[in-house]
Amino acid sequence: MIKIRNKTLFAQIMAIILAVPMLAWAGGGGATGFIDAGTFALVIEVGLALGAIILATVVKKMGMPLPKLVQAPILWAVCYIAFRVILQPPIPFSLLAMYMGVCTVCILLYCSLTTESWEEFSNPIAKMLRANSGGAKMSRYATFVILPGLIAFQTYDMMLPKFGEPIELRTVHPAPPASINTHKKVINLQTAENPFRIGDDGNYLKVGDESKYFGGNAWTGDVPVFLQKVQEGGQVFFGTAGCFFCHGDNLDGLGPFSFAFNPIPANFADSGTIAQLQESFVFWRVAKGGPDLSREAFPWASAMPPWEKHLTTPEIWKVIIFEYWHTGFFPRTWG
Amino acid sequence: MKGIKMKDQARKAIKGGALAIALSGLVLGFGGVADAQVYKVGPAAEIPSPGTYKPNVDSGADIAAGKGVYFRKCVWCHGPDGAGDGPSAIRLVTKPRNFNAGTFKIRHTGSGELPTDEDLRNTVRHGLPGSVMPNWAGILSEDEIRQVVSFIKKELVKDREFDDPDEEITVIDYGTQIPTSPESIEIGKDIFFNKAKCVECHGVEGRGNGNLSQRGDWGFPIFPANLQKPWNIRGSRRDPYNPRNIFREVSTGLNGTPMPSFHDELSVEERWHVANFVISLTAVKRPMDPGNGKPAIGFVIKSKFMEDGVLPGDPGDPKWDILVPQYVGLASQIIQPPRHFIRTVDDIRVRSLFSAEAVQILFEWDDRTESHRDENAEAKYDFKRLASVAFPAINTTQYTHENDNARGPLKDVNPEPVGVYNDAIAVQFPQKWEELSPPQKPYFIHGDEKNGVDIWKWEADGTAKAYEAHGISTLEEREDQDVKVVYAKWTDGRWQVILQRALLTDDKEKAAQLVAGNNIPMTFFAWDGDAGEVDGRMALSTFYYLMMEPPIPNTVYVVPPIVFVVMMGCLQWARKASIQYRKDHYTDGDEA
Repeated sequence: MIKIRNKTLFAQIMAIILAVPMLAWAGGGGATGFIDAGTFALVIEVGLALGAIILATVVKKMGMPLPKLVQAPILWAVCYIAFRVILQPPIPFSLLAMYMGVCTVCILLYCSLTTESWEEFSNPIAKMLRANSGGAKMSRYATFVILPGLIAFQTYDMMLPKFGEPIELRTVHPAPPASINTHKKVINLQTAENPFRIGDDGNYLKVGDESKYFGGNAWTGDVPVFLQKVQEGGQVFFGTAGCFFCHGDNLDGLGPFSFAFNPIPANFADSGTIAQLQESFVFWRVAKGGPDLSREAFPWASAMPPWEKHLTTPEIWKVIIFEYWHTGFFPRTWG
Repeated sequence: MKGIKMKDQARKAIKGGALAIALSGLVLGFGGVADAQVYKVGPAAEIPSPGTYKPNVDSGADIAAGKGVYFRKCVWCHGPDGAGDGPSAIRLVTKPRNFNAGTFKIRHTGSGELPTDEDLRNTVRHGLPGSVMPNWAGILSEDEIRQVVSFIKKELVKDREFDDPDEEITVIDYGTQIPTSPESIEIGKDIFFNKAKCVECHGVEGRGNGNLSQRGDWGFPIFPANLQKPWNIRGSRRDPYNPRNIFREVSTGLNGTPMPSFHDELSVEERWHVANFVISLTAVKRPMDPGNGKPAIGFVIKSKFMEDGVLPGDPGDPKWDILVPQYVGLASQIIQPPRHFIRTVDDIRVRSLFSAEAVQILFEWDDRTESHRDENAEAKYDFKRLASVAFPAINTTQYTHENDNARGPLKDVNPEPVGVYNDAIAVQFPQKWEELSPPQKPYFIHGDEKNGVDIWKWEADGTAKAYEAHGISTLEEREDQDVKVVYAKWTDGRWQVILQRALLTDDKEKAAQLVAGNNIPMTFFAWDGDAGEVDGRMALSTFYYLMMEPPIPNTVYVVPPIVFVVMMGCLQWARKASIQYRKDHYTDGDEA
């Protein structure tokens, strides 16, 4: 008996420890715009679910155990929130429906474990259906109107034709070809190295070692050769090619033309793009542009030009150096 | 005893149900917050207090740190000496600011005066909408913003000193804001047209189509702001519908530009009335996209069904009023030769209606000039005029390696525009789109070898032609010319054009067949003939979808009531069964 009590107490304390800061953080963040609305809703929902558990245990401790009929929907709601919101990335609806089906069966099993618990669960329903007391009548009339009303509304909502944007799942980083031919030279994308990763000693600069140049000034008179190449790459990004029109002055994909394009230009400042890619992959993307993408990456909709038509091979390698320097990311390597 | 217990439980059940409904209401409410529409997409602006202003004395440490920030982020446009001549400058029409003279447009200070530190920090934070200066808030820290402003003030402003005691800096007073009202807007309108004569530059409808032959202090041509696109106004601070920004610009003027200060000509109240009028010019208050600070875009163009079968003849027809004009963003065609960096049409507003036979598309777009092809006319917005003493080689916007297999120096391979061309608009659908398995489409710029497109193009010479294309240089006029111009007129800086075509045509191979209830891919193109735009030198969008919404079937209104009645019947049956069950198994009569 004592053991169980301790467990309940433990659960309560854990729930309070989790829920209170969450609600406080979300409240503060939502009010100041510190966190975005989606995160705000998520945290509030999780907080409310935990709050409901606290409420249930507190009420139970006060000697008023929640009837099974109330416990069941709360359990169900907690499961729903867990699958729908907490589980990331979001699962498809068919899977959600399956999980919730299993949960429903489990909850019904839990409610019908013993004859007493089943009676506790079903008696209020039976009471609502047939009793003649004022409260029962009220709840019967409400149920008989609200339940069919809700189902009828959902039917209407499902039948009403919807005209949303078609859902088209696009692969952002499709598999590259083994090699490409640009400016009459074959470039093997597995082995190609950026010829402008040069250290002060004139030798190849290993990925990671360029961090000492991050934040350096590439515009003073006597700069290391690496920063010289960064500067030349910047001239390509902002001048010769004009990459910033789409990819933005901060390389965050929010350039002045970005609002007109769908899909939006790549955000290099995000750790999910160039930071995940080999330099040779980036070379392929720059040299061949949208039209060379495979079908799952929507070559017909990408506004990325095939830059080999406008830039030389060295210019492409230099602009890649610049992009990594500017964002402070390292390219992926397989070594 | 048992009865009491059950009654208790029933009460608890009702309470539990109420709790569940309240909880789900809260959850739905917070879901709503996630989808809330936003009209202001930046942090609050710092407002200096009115009166005499003393600039901050910048510490050496701040200036040094600011230099580091500058050479990482700013130098690429503003140049190593802050002369506005970074690598990007050749391609831009609103040039990066040259800091050397200490002339700043967006300020809280008197005409010709230096800006406050708050103003400069706001500009870095919010960027300058409508130019390429982005909002740096969230990218640079508040400390970095302060530091880079210190560096610019001390090292890059060369002709004036912020700590010179002779520099008088006076911050304007907002006074008491007059809330907008029909009366205030009416007074503001009178000032706009008569007292302050804003109309002379900004035009009758405020689309910036007044005086187009002015230059700024830096020698570049400058065009009056289009007040109907407040999200493109430089000083809008990513808060485009806030009249405070207009009040401030009217009060201070924009240094270095023809926009004067009205501080002494207009009283504080009059300036608030003007600001309220200017804000009222934007007919549709559009929610903003928090990322790019432009109106949020919906990619499905909704076309509504006309049950009477009659499509309107002009844009004034109230039938159009059932639709909110949809905002379509346009970029320059910088992808395929001839590359073009300076498009002047940055959006089109689109509406569409259809009947059982035909579809109409109403295009509305702002263009400061009405242009018709004339080889001898002097263009107001051509590449030559965009040059200045500082940048004689402005038409390097045309320079490229293209067609040269990227060898040798940059060279100009595009023919220079001659005179004025036709303004034009076009919409493109894939040929036989119904046979392409989604999401497959033809290449968005006029199709590709495998998948062709059907292009409907209107030009200012009054023609509307149907083209077939398999790539940007392969446009061919089709034999079956079935696109009709229903309406085309330029008034006060805006074109309104209605094109109409039969849903189904005879040539099923070359003309897209339009069927209601489908998302039909579509792409938009626009040309400003005065800016040398012709053929591939154009503004374009990527894919949108035309959705002609079929009329709602009657079953939608019939089935749900049936469901309701059946459900109620089921519940009633459950009640009967329950009562019967009790009668059969208990003998202590009815429950209380």
